[in-house]
Amino acid sequence: MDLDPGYMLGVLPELLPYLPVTLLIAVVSMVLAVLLGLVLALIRFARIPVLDQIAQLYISLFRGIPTLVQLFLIYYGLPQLFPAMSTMSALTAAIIGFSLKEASYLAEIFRAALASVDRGQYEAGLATGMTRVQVYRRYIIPQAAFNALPATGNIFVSLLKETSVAFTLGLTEIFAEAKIIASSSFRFFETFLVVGLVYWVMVVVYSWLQQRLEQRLGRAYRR
Amino acid sequence: MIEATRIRKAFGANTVLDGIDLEVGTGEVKAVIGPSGSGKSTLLRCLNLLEAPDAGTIRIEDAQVTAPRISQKEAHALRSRTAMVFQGYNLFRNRTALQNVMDPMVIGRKVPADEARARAQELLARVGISESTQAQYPVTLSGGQQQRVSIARALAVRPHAILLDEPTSALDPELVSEVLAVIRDLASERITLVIVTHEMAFAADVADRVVFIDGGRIVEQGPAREVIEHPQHERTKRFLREELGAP
Repeated sequence: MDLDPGYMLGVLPELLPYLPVTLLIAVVSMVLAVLLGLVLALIRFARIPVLDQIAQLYISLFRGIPTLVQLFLIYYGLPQLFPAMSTMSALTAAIIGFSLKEASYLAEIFRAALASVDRGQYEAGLATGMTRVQVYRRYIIPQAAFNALPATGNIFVSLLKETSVAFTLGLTEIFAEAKIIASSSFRFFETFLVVGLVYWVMVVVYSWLQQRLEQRLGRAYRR
Repeated sequence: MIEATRIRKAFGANTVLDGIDLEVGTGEVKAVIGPSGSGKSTLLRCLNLLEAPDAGTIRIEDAQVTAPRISQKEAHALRSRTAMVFQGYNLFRNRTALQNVMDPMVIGRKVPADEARARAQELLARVGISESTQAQYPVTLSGGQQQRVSIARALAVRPHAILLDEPTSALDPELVSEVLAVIRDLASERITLVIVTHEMAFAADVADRVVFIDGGRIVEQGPAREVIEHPQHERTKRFLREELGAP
Protein backbone atom coordinates (compact mmCIF):
# COMPACT_ATOMS: atom_id res chain seq x y z
CA MET A 1 0.00 0.00 0.00
CA ASP A 2 1.39 3.31 -1.06
CA LEU A 3 0.44 5.79 1.69
CA ASP A 4 2.80 8.67 2.50
CA PRO A 5 2.22 10.09 6.02
CA GLY A 6 5.05 12.57 5.57
CA TYR A 7 3.32 14.01 2.52
CA MET A 8 0.17 14.45 4.58
CA LEU A 9 2.00 16.53 7.17
CA GLY A 10 3.54 18.62 4.40
CA VAL A 11 0.27 19.31 2.62
CA LEU A 12 -1.49 20.61 5.71
CA PRO A 13 0.36 23.98 5.82
CA GLU A 14 -0.42 24.44 2.14
CA LEU A 15 -4.14 23.99 2.75
CA LEU A 16 -4.57 26.03 5.92
CA PRO A 17 -4.19 29.47 4.24
CA TYR A 18 -7.50 28.69 2.47
CA LEU A 19 -9.32 27.87 5.67
CA PRO A 20 -10.33 31.53 6.27
CA VAL A 21 -12.21 31.55 2.93
CA THR A 22 -14.20 28.48 3.98
CA LEU A 23 -14.92 29.94 7.39
CA LEU A 24 -15.84 33.32 5.90
CA ILE A 25 -18.41 31.76 3.55
CA ALA A 26 -19.86 29.58 6.31
CA VAL A 27 -20.05 32.21 9.06
CA VAL A 28 -21.28 35.13 6.94
CA SER A 29 -23.85 32.93 5.18
CA MET A 30 -25.03 31.59 8.54
CA VAL A 31 -25.45 35.04 10.08
CA LEU A 32 -27.44 36.26 7.07
CA ALA A 33 -29.46 33.04 6.98
CA VAL A 34 -30.36 33.36 10.68
CA LEU A 35 -31.59 36.93 10.15
CA LEU A 36 -33.62 36.09 7.04
CA GLY A 37 -34.84 32.83 8.59
CA LEU A 38 -36.07 34.69 11.65
CA VAL A 39 -37.97 37.21 9.55
CA LEU A 40 -39.56 34.39 7.53
CA ALA A 41 -40.39 32.45 10.70
CA LEU A 42 -42.04 35.47 12.34
CA ILE A 43 -44.06 36.13 9.18
CA ARG A 44 -45.21 32.53 9.10
CA PHE A 45 -45.78 32.34 12.86
CA ALA A 46 -47.89 35.51 12.92
CA ARG A 47 -49.64 34.35 9.71
CA ILE A 48 -49.32 37.80 8.15
CA PRO A 49 -51.55 37.66 5.05
CA VAL A 50 -49.86 37.76 1.61
CA LEU A 51 -46.36 37.80 3.21
CA ASP A 52 -47.11 34.37 4.67
CA GLN A 53 -47.89 32.97 1.23
CA ILE A 54 -44.76 34.56 -0.22
CA ALA A 55 -42.69 33.08 2.64
CA GLN A 56 -44.20 29.64 2.04
CA LEU A 57 -43.37 29.79 -1.67
CA TYR A 58 -39.85 30.97 -0.88
CA ILE A 59 -39.26 28.15 1.59
CA SER A 60 -40.68 25.58 -0.78
CA LEU A 61 -38.49 26.75 -3.67
CA PHE A 62 -35.22 27.05 -1.79
CA ARG A 63 -35.66 23.74 -0.02
CA GLY A 64 -36.73 22.08 -3.24
CA ILE A 65 -33.96 23.14 -5.63
CA PRO A 66 -30.51 21.52 -5.27
CA THR A 67 -27.85 23.76 -3.76
CA LEU A 68 -25.59 23.44 -6.77
CA VAL A 69 -28.38 24.49 -9.12
CA GLN A 70 -29.11 27.51 -6.88
CA LEU A 71 -25.48 28.56 -6.93
CA PHE A 72 -25.31 28.23 -10.73
CA LEU A 73 -28.53 30.20 -11.14
CA ILE A 74 -27.10 33.03 -9.06
CA TYR A 75 -23.55 33.11 -10.38
CA TYR A 76 -24.00 32.13 -14.02
CA GLY A 77 -27.70 32.78 -14.54
CA LEU A 78 -28.50 36.16 -13.00
CA PRO A 79 -25.84 38.16 -14.91
CA GLN A 80 -27.55 37.04 -18.12
CA LEU A 81 -30.76 38.77 -16.99
CA PHE A 82 -29.10 41.67 -15.19
CA PRO A 83 -25.80 42.59 -16.87
CA ALA A 84 -24.90 44.80 -13.87
CA MET A 85 -24.51 41.61 -11.85
CA SER A 86 -21.73 40.26 -14.07
CA THR A 87 -19.20 41.95 -11.80
CA MET A 88 -20.42 39.85 -8.86
CA SER A 89 -17.56 37.84 -7.38
CA ALA A 90 -17.79 34.10 -6.86
CA LEU A 91 -17.44 34.70 -3.13
CA THR A 92 -20.43 37.03 -3.08
CA ALA A 93 -22.47 34.60 -5.16
CA ALA A 94 -21.59 31.72 -2.85
CA ILE A 95 -22.54 33.70 0.25
CA ILE A 96 -25.82 34.82 -1.30
CA GLY A 97 -26.61 31.29 -2.44
CA PHE A 98 -25.88 29.61 0.88
CA SER A 99 -27.67 32.33 2.85
CA LEU A 100 -30.84 32.04 0.80
CA LYS A 101 -30.86 28.26 0.98
CA GLU A 102 -30.12 27.89 4.69
CA ALA A 103 -32.66 30.62 5.53
CA SER A 104 -35.39 28.41 4.11
CA TYR A 105 -34.41 25.53 6.41
CA LEU A 106 -33.92 27.79 9.43
CA ALA A 107 -37.31 29.44 8.90
CA GLU A 108 -39.04 26.13 9.56
CA ILE A 109 -36.83 25.36 12.57
CA PHE A 110 -37.47 28.82 14.05
CA ARG A 111 -41.19 28.61 13.40
CA ALA A 112 -41.41 25.35 15.33
CA ALA A 113 -39.29 26.84 18.11
CA LEU A 114 -41.54 29.90 18.37
CA ALA A 115 -44.57 27.61 18.56
CA SER A 116 -42.91 25.64 21.35
CA VAL A 117 -42.86 28.65 23.68
CA ASP A 118 -45.83 28.54 26.05
CA ARG A 119 -48.50 31.06 25.09
CA GLY A 120 -48.70 32.03 28.76
CA GLN A 121 -45.37 33.86 28.35
CA TYR A 122 -46.93 36.10 25.72
CA GLU A 123 -50.03 36.72 27.81
CA ALA A 124 -48.00 37.48 30.93
CA GLY A 125 -45.99 40.08 29.04
CA LEU A 126 -49.05 41.80 27.62
CA ALA A 127 -50.87 41.65 30.95
CA THR A 128 -48.00 43.46 32.69
CA GLY A 129 -48.24 46.31 30.20
CA MET A 130 -45.56 45.42 27.67
CA THR A 131 -46.00 45.78 23.93
CA ARG A 132 -46.02 42.79 21.60
CA VAL A 133 -42.60 43.73 20.22
CA GLN A 134 -41.15 43.90 23.76
CA VAL A 135 -42.63 40.52 24.65
CA TYR A 136 -41.22 38.87 21.53
CA ARG A 137 -37.81 40.44 21.98
CA ARG A 138 -37.41 39.73 25.68
CA TYR A 139 -39.13 36.39 26.19
CA ILE A 140 -40.47 34.62 23.12
CA ILE A 141 -37.41 34.88 20.86
CA PRO A 142 -34.83 34.13 23.60
CA GLN A 143 -36.76 31.05 24.76
CA ALA A 144 -37.34 29.93 21.18
CA ALA A 145 -33.63 30.44 20.44
CA PHE A 146 -32.69 28.00 23.16
CA ASN A 147 -35.14 25.44 21.80
CA ALA A 148 -33.85 25.98 18.26
CA LEU A 149 -30.16 25.73 19.14
CA PRO A 150 -29.55 21.99 18.50
CA ALA A 151 -31.30 22.00 15.11
CA THR A 152 -29.67 25.30 14.13
CA GLY A 153 -26.28 23.83 15.01
CA ASN A 154 -26.98 20.93 12.66
CA ILE A 155 -27.65 23.39 9.86
CA PHE A 156 -24.36 25.16 10.52
CA VAL A 157 -22.39 21.91 10.59
CA SER A 158 -23.89 20.87 7.29
CA LEU A 159 -23.25 24.34 5.82
CA LEU A 160 -19.63 24.28 6.95
CA LYS A 161 -19.05 21.17 4.84
CA GLU A 162 -21.29 22.23 1.98
CA THR A 163 -19.12 25.29 1.34
CA SER A 164 -16.89 22.81 -0.50
CA VAL A 165 -19.23 22.93 -3.50
CA ALA A 166 -18.26 26.59 -3.94
CA PHE A 167 -15.26 25.34 -5.93
CA THR A 168 -17.71 24.86 -8.81
CA LEU A 169 -17.96 28.66 -9.05
CA GLY A 170 -14.19 28.84 -9.46
CA LEU A 171 -13.76 29.94 -5.86
CA THR A 172 -10.59 28.69 -4.20
CA GLU A 173 -11.53 27.63 -0.73
CA ILE A 174 -9.87 24.80 1.12
CA PHE A 175 -11.35 21.95 -0.93
CA ALA A 176 -10.61 23.64 -4.26
CA GLU A 177 -6.99 24.08 -3.17
CA ALA A 178 -6.86 20.41 -2.19
CA LYS A 179 -8.01 19.45 -5.68
CA ILE A 180 -5.31 21.64 -7.22
CA ILE A 181 -2.60 20.15 -5.02
CA ALA A 182 -3.77 16.57 -5.54
CA SER A 183 -3.89 16.86 -9.30
CA SER A 184 -0.28 18.01 -9.44
CA SER A 185 1.15 15.59 -6.84
CA PHE A 186 -1.12 12.65 -7.75
CA ARG A 187 -1.41 12.02 -3.99
CA PHE A 188 -5.22 12.05 -4.13
CA PHE A 189 -5.93 9.90 -1.11
CA GLU A 190 -3.57 11.72 1.26
CA THR A 191 -4.63 15.19 0.13
CA PHE A 192 -8.36 14.53 0.32
CA LEU A 193 -7.97 12.71 3.62
CA VAL A 194 -6.17 15.73 5.09
CA VAL A 195 -8.80 18.14 3.82
CA GLY A 196 -11.52 15.83 5.17
CA LEU A 197 -9.86 15.80 8.57
CA VAL A 198 -9.63 19.61 8.55
CA TYR A 199 -13.43 19.77 8.09
CA TRP A 200 -13.85 17.18 10.84
CA VAL A 201 -11.73 19.21 13.28
CA MET A 202 -13.76 22.34 12.48
CA VAL A 203 -16.98 20.45 13.21
CA VAL A 204 -15.59 19.05 16.47
CA VAL A 205 -14.50 22.51 17.63
CA TYR A 206 -17.84 24.01 16.66
CA SER A 207 -19.76 21.23 18.43
CA TRP A 208 -17.79 21.91 21.59
CA LEU A 209 -18.59 25.63 21.37
CA GLN A 210 -22.26 24.88 20.86
CA GLN A 211 -22.32 22.54 23.83
CA ARG A 212 -20.90 25.29 26.02
CA LEU A 213 -23.49 27.74 24.70
CA GLU A 214 -26.28 25.26 25.43
CA GLN A 215 -24.96 24.84 28.96
CA ARG A 216 -24.90 28.58 29.47
CA LEU A 217 -28.32 29.33 27.99
CA GLY A 218 -29.77 26.25 29.67
CA ARG A 219 -29.09 27.53 33.18
CA ALA A 220 -32.57 29.03 33.33
CA TYR A 221 -34.30 25.77 32.44
CA ARG A 222 -32.50 23.26 34.67
CA ARG A 223 -33.89 22.28 38.03
CA MET B 1 -62.59 51.40 39.17
CA ILE B 2 -63.63 48.89 36.53
CA GLU B 3 -66.83 49.11 34.55
CA ALA B 4 -67.67 46.44 31.99
CA THR B 5 -70.93 46.81 30.12
CA ARG B 6 -72.82 44.26 28.05
CA ILE B 7 -69.77 42.07 27.37
CA ARG B 8 -70.42 39.37 24.81
CA LYS B 9 -68.01 36.72 23.68
CA ALA B 10 -68.51 33.60 21.60
CA PHE B 11 -66.03 30.93 20.53
CA GLY B 12 -67.52 29.82 17.24
CA ALA B 13 -71.13 28.84 17.87
CA ASN B 14 -70.53 28.60 21.61
CA THR B 15 -71.63 31.77 23.43
CA VAL B 16 -69.46 32.08 26.52
CA LEU B 17 -70.43 35.55 27.73
CA ASP B 18 -73.95 36.62 27.01
CA GLY B 19 -74.11 40.32 27.83
CA ILE B 20 -72.42 40.66 31.20
CA ASP B 21 -72.27 43.85 33.26
CA LEU B 22 -69.61 44.04 35.93
CA GLU B 23 -68.66 46.92 38.17
CA VAL B 24 -65.75 46.87 40.58
CA GLY B 25 -65.23 49.90 42.78
CA THR B 26 -61.81 51.22 43.80
CA GLY B 27 -60.52 49.20 46.74
CA GLU B 28 -63.21 46.59 46.29
CA VAL B 29 -62.45 42.87 46.35
CA LYS B 30 -64.75 41.05 43.97
CA ALA B 31 -64.91 37.27 43.70
CA VAL B 32 -66.27 35.72 40.53
CA ILE B 33 -67.57 32.19 41.08
CA GLY B 34 -69.37 29.68 38.93
CA PRO B 35 -69.16 26.18 37.47
CA SER B 36 -66.41 25.15 35.04
CA GLY B 37 -67.18 26.51 31.61
CA SER B 38 -69.48 29.20 32.98
CA GLY B 39 -67.37 31.92 31.38
CA LYS B 40 -65.81 33.38 34.52
CA SER B 41 -62.21 33.10 33.33
CA THR B 42 -63.18 34.41 29.92
CA LEU B 43 -64.82 37.41 31.58
CA LEU B 44 -61.62 38.14 33.50
CA ARG B 45 -59.53 37.75 30.34
CA CYS B 46 -61.85 40.11 28.48
CA LEU B 47 -61.18 42.80 31.09
CA ASN B 48 -57.53 43.06 29.97
CA LEU B 49 -58.29 42.01 26.40
CA LEU B 50 -56.33 38.77 26.44
CA GLU B 51 -59.58 37.64 24.89
CA ALA B 52 -61.12 40.13 22.49
CA PRO B 53 -64.80 40.63 23.37
CA ASP B 54 -67.25 40.55 20.46
CA ALA B 55 -69.25 43.42 21.91
CA GLY B 56 -69.41 45.62 24.96
CA THR B 57 -67.54 48.47 26.62
CA ILE B 58 -64.79 48.24 29.20
CA ARG B 59 -63.63 51.19 31.22
CA ILE B 60 -60.77 51.04 33.71
CA GLU B 61 -60.11 54.40 35.33
CA ASP B 62 -59.48 56.80 32.43
CA ALA B 63 -59.04 54.15 29.72
CA GLN B 64 -62.01 52.94 27.75
CA VAL B 65 -62.50 50.55 24.84
CA THR B 66 -65.57 49.50 22.91
CA ALA B 67 -65.57 46.12 21.18
CA PRO B 68 -65.24 44.90 18.53
CA ARG B 69 -63.14 47.76 17.19
CA ILE B 70 -60.18 48.10 19.54
CA SER B 71 -56.82 49.39 18.33
CA GLN B 72 -53.49 48.01 19.57
CA LYS B 73 -52.88 51.35 21.25
CA GLU B 74 -56.21 51.33 23.12
CA ALA B 75 -55.66 47.72 24.16
CA HIS B 76 -52.21 48.55 25.48
CA ALA B 77 -53.56 51.55 27.41
CA LEU B 78 -56.28 49.45 29.01
CA ARG B 79 -53.90 46.62 29.90
CA SER B 80 -51.44 49.02 31.48
CA ARG B 81 -54.03 49.84 34.12
CA THR B 82 -54.32 46.30 35.42
CA ALA B 83 -52.06 43.36 36.14
CA MET B 84 -52.91 39.68 36.09
CA VAL B 85 -52.11 36.64 38.18
CA PHE B 86 -52.52 33.44 36.18
CA GLN B 87 -53.53 29.95 37.23
CA GLY B 88 -50.31 28.61 35.71
CA TYR B 89 -48.16 31.48 37.13
CA ASN B 90 -46.64 32.27 33.71
CA LEU B 91 -43.42 33.63 35.12
CA PHE B 92 -40.92 34.55 32.39
CA ARG B 93 -38.91 31.34 32.18
CA ASN B 94 -35.69 32.93 30.96
CA ARG B 95 -35.61 35.45 33.84
CA THR B 96 -34.86 35.07 37.55
CA ALA B 97 -37.52 35.75 40.17
CA LEU B 98 -36.06 39.21 40.75
CA GLN B 99 -35.91 39.98 37.01
CA ASN B 100 -39.50 38.82 36.62
CA VAL B 101 -40.58 41.56 39.01
CA MET B 102 -38.20 44.18 37.64
CA ASP B 103 -39.00 43.67 33.94
CA PRO B 104 -42.51 45.15 33.88
CA MET B 105 -41.09 48.29 35.49
CA VAL B 106 -37.88 48.54 33.46
CA ILE B 107 -39.17 47.36 30.07
CA GLY B 108 -42.82 48.36 30.24
CA ARG B 109 -42.59 51.62 32.22
CA LYS B 110 -38.98 52.74 31.70
CA VAL B 111 -38.27 52.87 35.44
CA PRO B 112 -34.49 53.15 36.04
CA ALA B 113 -33.00 49.73 36.85
CA ASP B 114 -31.72 50.67 40.32
CA GLU B 115 -35.07 51.99 41.38
CA ALA B 116 -36.84 48.95 39.90
CA ARG B 117 -34.47 46.56 41.65
CA ALA B 118 -35.05 48.17 45.03
CA ARG B 119 -38.80 48.07 44.59
CA ALA B 120 -38.72 44.48 43.30
CA GLN B 121 -36.68 43.35 46.31
CA GLU B 122 -39.12 45.08 48.61
CA LEU B 123 -42.15 43.47 46.92
CA LEU B 124 -40.57 40.03 46.91
CA ALA B 125 -39.73 40.32 50.60
CA ARG B 126 -43.32 41.30 51.21
CA VAL B 127 -44.62 38.09 49.59
CA GLY B 128 -42.06 36.06 51.54
CA ILE B 129 -39.44 35.36 48.86
CA SER B 130 -35.99 35.34 50.44
CA GLU B 131 -33.01 37.09 48.88
CA SER B 132 -31.36 33.83 47.80
CA THR B 133 -34.58 32.63 46.18
CA GLN B 134 -34.87 35.92 44.27
CA ALA B 135 -31.80 34.97 42.23
CA GLN B 136 -33.31 31.65 41.15
CA TYR B 137 -35.04 30.84 37.88
CA PRO B 138 -38.76 29.97 37.97
CA VAL B 139 -38.21 26.30 37.11
CA THR B 140 -36.42 25.78 40.44
CA LEU B 141 -39.23 27.31 42.53
CA SER B 142 -42.22 25.56 44.07
CA GLY B 143 -45.68 26.38 42.72
CA GLY B 144 -46.44 28.44 45.80
CA GLN B 145 -43.22 30.42 45.42
CA GLN B 146 -43.88 30.98 41.72
CA GLN B 147 -47.36 32.27 42.39
CA ARG B 148 -46.10 34.61 45.11
CA VAL B 149 -43.46 35.96 42.70
CA SER B 150 -46.19 36.47 40.13
CA ILE B 151 -48.21 38.46 42.66
CA ALA B 152 -45.14 40.62 43.34
CA ARG B 153 -44.78 41.06 39.58
CA ALA B 154 -48.40 42.18 39.37
CA LEU B 155 -47.86 44.72 42.15
CA ALA B 156 -44.69 46.05 40.48
CA VAL B 157 -46.53 48.16 37.94
CA ARG B 158 -48.80 49.79 40.58
CA PRO B 159 -51.94 48.68 38.74
CA HIS B 160 -55.38 50.14 39.42
CA ALA B 161 -56.60 46.59 39.84
CA ILE B 162 -55.21 43.06 39.90
CA LEU B 163 -57.07 40.33 38.05
CA LEU B 164 -56.50 36.88 39.57
CA ASP B 165 -57.49 33.90 37.44
CA GLU B 166 -57.90 30.87 39.73
CA PRO B 167 -54.63 31.70 41.48
CA THR B 168 -54.56 28.57 43.64
CA SER B 169 -56.12 25.97 41.33
CA ALA B 170 -52.82 24.61 40.03
CA LEU B 171 -51.19 24.40 43.45
CA ASP B 172 -50.65 21.35 45.62
CA PRO B 173 -53.09 21.51 48.54
CA GLU B 174 -50.38 22.23 51.12
CA LEU B 175 -49.22 25.28 49.12
CA VAL B 176 -52.64 26.91 48.75
CA SER B 177 -52.65 28.63 52.12
CA GLU B 178 -49.36 30.51 51.60
CA VAL B 179 -50.75 32.08 48.42
CA LEU B 180 -54.15 32.82 49.93
CA ALA B 181 -52.37 34.56 52.82
CA VAL B 182 -50.66 36.91 50.38
CA ILE B 183 -53.94 37.66 48.59
CA ARG B 184 -55.63 38.27 51.95
CA ASP B 185 -52.84 40.72 52.71
CA LEU B 186 -53.50 42.62 49.45
CA ALA B 187 -57.22 42.74 50.22
CA SER B 188 -56.57 44.20 53.65
CA GLU B 189 -54.63 47.01 51.97
CA ARG B 190 -57.63 47.86 49.84
CA ILE B 191 -56.00 47.00 46.53
CA THR B 192 -58.73 46.50 43.94
CA LEU B 193 -58.94 42.78 43.19
CA VAL B 194 -61.07 40.69 40.87
CA ILE B 195 -60.61 37.02 41.75
CA VAL B 196 -61.95 34.07 39.82
CA THR B 197 -61.85 31.28 42.38
CA HIS B 198 -63.15 27.92 43.54
CA GLU B 199 -62.15 28.65 47.13
CA MET B 200 -65.61 29.42 48.50
CA ALA B 201 -64.59 29.82 52.13
CA PHE B 202 -61.84 32.19 51.09
CA ALA B 203 -64.23 34.18 48.87
CA ALA B 204 -66.75 34.48 51.69
CA ASP B 205 -64.04 35.62 54.04
CA VAL B 206 -61.98 38.01 51.91
CA ALA B 207 -64.21 39.31 49.12
CA ASP B 208 -66.53 42.26 49.59
CA ARG B 209 -68.87 41.13 46.89
CA VAL B 210 -69.43 37.94 44.94
CA VAL B 211 -70.73 37.46 41.42
CA PHE B 212 -72.12 34.04 40.48
CA ILE B 213 -71.94 33.32 36.74
CA ASP B 214 -73.56 30.43 34.93
CA GLY B 215 -74.05 29.93 31.21
CA GLY B 216 -72.40 33.23 30.38
CA ARG B 217 -74.80 35.31 32.47
CA ILE B 218 -74.74 36.75 35.96
CA VAL B 219 -77.23 34.73 37.96
CA GLU B 220 -76.75 36.32 41.33
CA GLN B 221 -74.54 38.92 42.98
CA GLY B 222 -74.26 40.65 46.30
CA PRO B 223 -72.24 40.92 49.50
CA ALA B 224 -69.91 37.91 49.70
CA ARG B 225 -71.20 36.29 52.86
CA GLU B 226 -74.81 36.78 51.88
CA VAL B 227 -74.44 35.13 48.46
CA ILE B 228 -72.32 32.22 49.69
CA GLU B 229 -74.18 31.55 52.94
CA HIS B 230 -77.71 32.46 51.85
CA PRO B 231 -77.97 32.10 48.08
CA GLN B 232 -81.32 33.09 46.63
CA HIS B 233 -81.32 31.36 43.27
CA GLU B 234 -81.75 27.64 42.80
CA ARG B 235 -78.68 27.42 40.49
CA THR B 236 -76.48 29.22 43.00
CA LYS B 237 -77.69 26.92 45.77
CA ARG B 238 -77.00 23.83 43.71
CA PHE B 239 -73.54 25.08 42.70
CA LEU B 240 -72.56 25.93 46.26
CA ARG B 241 -73.86 22.59 47.56
CA GLU B 242 -71.63 20.79 45.07
CA GLU B 243 -68.69 23.09 45.66
CA LEU B 244 -68.82 22.96 49.45
CA GLY B 245 -69.76 19.30 49.55
CA ALA B 246 -72.43 20.14 52.13
CA PRO B 247 -75.60 18.03 52.31
